[in-house]
Amino acid sequence: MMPLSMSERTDEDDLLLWILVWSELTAFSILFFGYLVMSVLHADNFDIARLHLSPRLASFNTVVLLASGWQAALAARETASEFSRRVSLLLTAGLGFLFVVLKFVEYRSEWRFASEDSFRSFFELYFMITGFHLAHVVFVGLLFVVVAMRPQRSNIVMLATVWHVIDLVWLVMFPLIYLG
Amino acid sequence: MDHTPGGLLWSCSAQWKQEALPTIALVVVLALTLLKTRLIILDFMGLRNRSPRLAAALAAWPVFFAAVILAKALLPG
Repeated sequence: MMPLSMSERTDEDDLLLWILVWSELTAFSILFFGYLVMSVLHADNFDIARLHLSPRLASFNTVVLLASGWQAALAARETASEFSRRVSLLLTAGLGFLFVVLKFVEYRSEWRFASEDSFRSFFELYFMITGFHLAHVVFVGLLFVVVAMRPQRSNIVMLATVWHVIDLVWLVMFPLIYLG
Repeated sequence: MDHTPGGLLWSCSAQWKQEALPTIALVVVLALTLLKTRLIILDFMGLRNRSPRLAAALAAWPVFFAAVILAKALLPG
């Protein structure tokens, strides 16, 4: 795939994009630091609590989110026709919503362990971090559906970039919480 | 415990899987993260050329967390 052309983007677009990107990354950095500090302070409880998570389902969800990011990149191509942009945008949103459904399936099996005293701090942080990420997936997924109705390229490029950043946050969160 | 050669081999293989697979998976996911940042976000989406300093900071973000996660996983204690 060819890189996107710079000519259509204005300085205002760039500024807004960077603000969006860095506000996301800063918010998640704070949460990740909180998680790291707590996982060092309560290492045993965190290690045992983590055994109740579903790394297989989370791995599958990683593939779903990456496939969704790929569709977002296809939608942002300069050469894409309006029809193929619409299809890619709807596939991006659809895969994003599949991610959300699978995450709720995962939550259902994990929820019962959250009330145990020794696991409480782990699951509070776990639900806060993954829930905040999930809220982003839902919101930007809905925006993809809205943009698919009138697929203007500048909007697609902005949304696709934010979507890739949301992917990136998951790609750091997944090893931090499930594999680390 | 099964002390036959087959049993021992299976036991060693299971132990290797249990110990090495999470680390391999960790390295693969972190490598994927760095690739995604450079190839998709910075190059394909074109963020690298517009604000080089912010782009460099964006490239450093996953590198920093990858280093911390790897250190935490591999260092004892």
